[in-house]
Amino acid sequence: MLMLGLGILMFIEFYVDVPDSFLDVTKSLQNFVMIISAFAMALGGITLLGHHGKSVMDKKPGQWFYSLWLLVVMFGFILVGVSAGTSGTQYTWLFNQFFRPIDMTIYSLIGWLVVYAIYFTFRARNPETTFLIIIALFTLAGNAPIGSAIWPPIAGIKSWLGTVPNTAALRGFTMASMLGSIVISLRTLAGMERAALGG
Amino acid sequence: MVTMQEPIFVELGLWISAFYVLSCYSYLYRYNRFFKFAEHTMIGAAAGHTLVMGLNNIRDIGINNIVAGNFIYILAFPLGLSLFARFVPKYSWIQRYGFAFMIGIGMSIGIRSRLISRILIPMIATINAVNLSHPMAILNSIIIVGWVTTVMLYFLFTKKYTSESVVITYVRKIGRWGIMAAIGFYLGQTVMTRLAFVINRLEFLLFQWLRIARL
Amino acid sequence: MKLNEKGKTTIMDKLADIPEQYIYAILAVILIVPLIKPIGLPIPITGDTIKFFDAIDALEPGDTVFFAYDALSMTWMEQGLGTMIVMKHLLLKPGIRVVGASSSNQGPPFWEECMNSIGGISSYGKEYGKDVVYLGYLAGGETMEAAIARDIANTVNVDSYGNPLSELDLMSEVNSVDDFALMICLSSGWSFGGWMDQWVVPYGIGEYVIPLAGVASDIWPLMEAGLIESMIAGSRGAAEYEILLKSPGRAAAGMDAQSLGHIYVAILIIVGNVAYFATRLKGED
Repeated sequence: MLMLGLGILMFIEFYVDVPDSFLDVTKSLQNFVMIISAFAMALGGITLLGHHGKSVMDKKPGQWFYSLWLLVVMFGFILVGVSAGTSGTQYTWLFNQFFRPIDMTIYSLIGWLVVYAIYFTFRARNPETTFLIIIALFTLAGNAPIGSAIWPPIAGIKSWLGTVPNTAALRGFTMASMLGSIVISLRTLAGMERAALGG
Repeated sequence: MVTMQEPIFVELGLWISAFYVLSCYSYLYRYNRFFKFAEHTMIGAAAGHTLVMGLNNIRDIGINNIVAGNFIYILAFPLGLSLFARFVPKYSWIQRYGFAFMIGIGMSIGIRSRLISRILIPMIATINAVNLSHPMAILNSIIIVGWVTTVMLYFLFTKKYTSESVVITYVRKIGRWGIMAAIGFYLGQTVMTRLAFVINRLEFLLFQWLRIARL
Repeated sequence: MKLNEKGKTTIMDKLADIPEQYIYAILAVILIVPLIKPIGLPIPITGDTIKFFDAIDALEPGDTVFFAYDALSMTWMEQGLGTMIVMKHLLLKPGIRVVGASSSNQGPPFWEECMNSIGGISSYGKEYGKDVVYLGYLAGGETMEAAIARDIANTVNVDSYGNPLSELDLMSEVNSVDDFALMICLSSGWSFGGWMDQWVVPYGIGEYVIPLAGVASDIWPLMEAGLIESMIAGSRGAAEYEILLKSPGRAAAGMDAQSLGHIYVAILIIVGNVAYFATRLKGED
């Protein structure tokens, strides 16, 4: 009932010309959500603390050292962030040395793996995958500056591929998936889907 | 307090970053303890960073507003704290209030605009795309209207319906070709993103860590 | 790997199943060589980049731009290049003001990095608080985006550095979406969609996006529908923008490696398929 009531309020605010006092109420409610979301950010940290704390306490072989290091890093960030502020050079240094390079590199690993995956899986096994591969090859050639340098019309072809076939198919996909998503959302707001409430 | 901008800290930071980059890249050979160490560092750092940012938001939006005289914001705190009830099984039902608030407002804010931006406006744009002025425009119109409808029907009418209707079967086949075109285009695009990530890390190793000069 | 009647593998069998270490090694060489010794291949400019550039160039003194700064470290590698050059363009324009906010919690460190990389606000004759304000990370996703579209001061009291907004001159002149000439979105993944739904759909402000190249395929339909004005996609878009601004930098320098990398991937696809068909035909004999 709470979800449905709040949902109806937000819909009225968007679609109906409402007085300023109504807008003040909805503004405050939206700000409440920002504060609640901030609390929700702590949930992951507490879960990690529980899981890895247990690993350290139980001295789980092959894991406890890594769990201890994880907790040291986590509390280090919290300590420096709270005491010196996140805009300070100390926190920025920690972020740039202990989070950023790892996050970026793990993500860049996908680049290496994708190249191998493309080589191994892009095999023209049937007419549809052949069509997919041809489109991909034209896109690759159009994206690389050297492609336009060798054959100038490729840029126009790639642009056409983006604005006509890709647009058409994605629009169809987006509309269909949005219809499904809206139905699920309305069911959740009406209380028919309980999973979102955490059990 | 130490400012971390002194040359020694800059150099130390560079070597720490390089250690982690190489540890992560060692995964290309096989999963090993260096990668595991880097993995756990990142998870701890991400959790710590998220917590700090959350605390900052509670202070900036919640506490500052209360101090400024908007006492209604006091009501947000019990709702936020209710989320932690999940860790006490006997009282875990309390968390539903906090989540209900977040989902009730968040979800409705999302879908009220999406009805317009993801369904209505694309529908109008598809109709407006019909242009019979010259052969290329006619071809574009056929592709756009044809594939928008067939791809949408492909996802709405699943396999269950194909046994009942020959028309649906052929409509779905045409839709599949459209999906292949979109996936092929997306894969071609995504190669640039993935290569950019790899190039960035190589640039770090070559020009920042090893200080190799460009020729 | 299949063996022929003599119990050996043919060249086609080997080409159909190249070990991954060889693929990685060749890729590394292909990318490293042009990074160290650039070839200087031309970079044609696309219409989307020109439209983005012209929109910023057309801003008048006194205009304020909202910068949705949704940076993430995993995507900064590609988007950082475009972000820095666009920010540089904004700061170079006299009289243009910028208000930034992030819906991703990694936004603040990358805002600092962007400002430091382009030389700092003061090097462009601008002053924090008067010409540039950064509100920092604001939790809440689309709820936050909807809230600040209507009333920034009622939602946020302080900026990213703890300065009360009431003490910042710029924030006394801008408070809602109507006060901004346009918005630029550094989109981590699909975050541009949230800003589009909460700022563009209800209020009609023009949104210009700096996405990953992979996400650009999702933005084209929205551009065709008029929901997104333009974008500079990935490192190629950033390189084109650097050339338009006559300030070639890392993006332009990395384009040679991108070109050769793309050719390598295309060759791998072709080689893999030729070998696949050859081995399949051999198997059918």
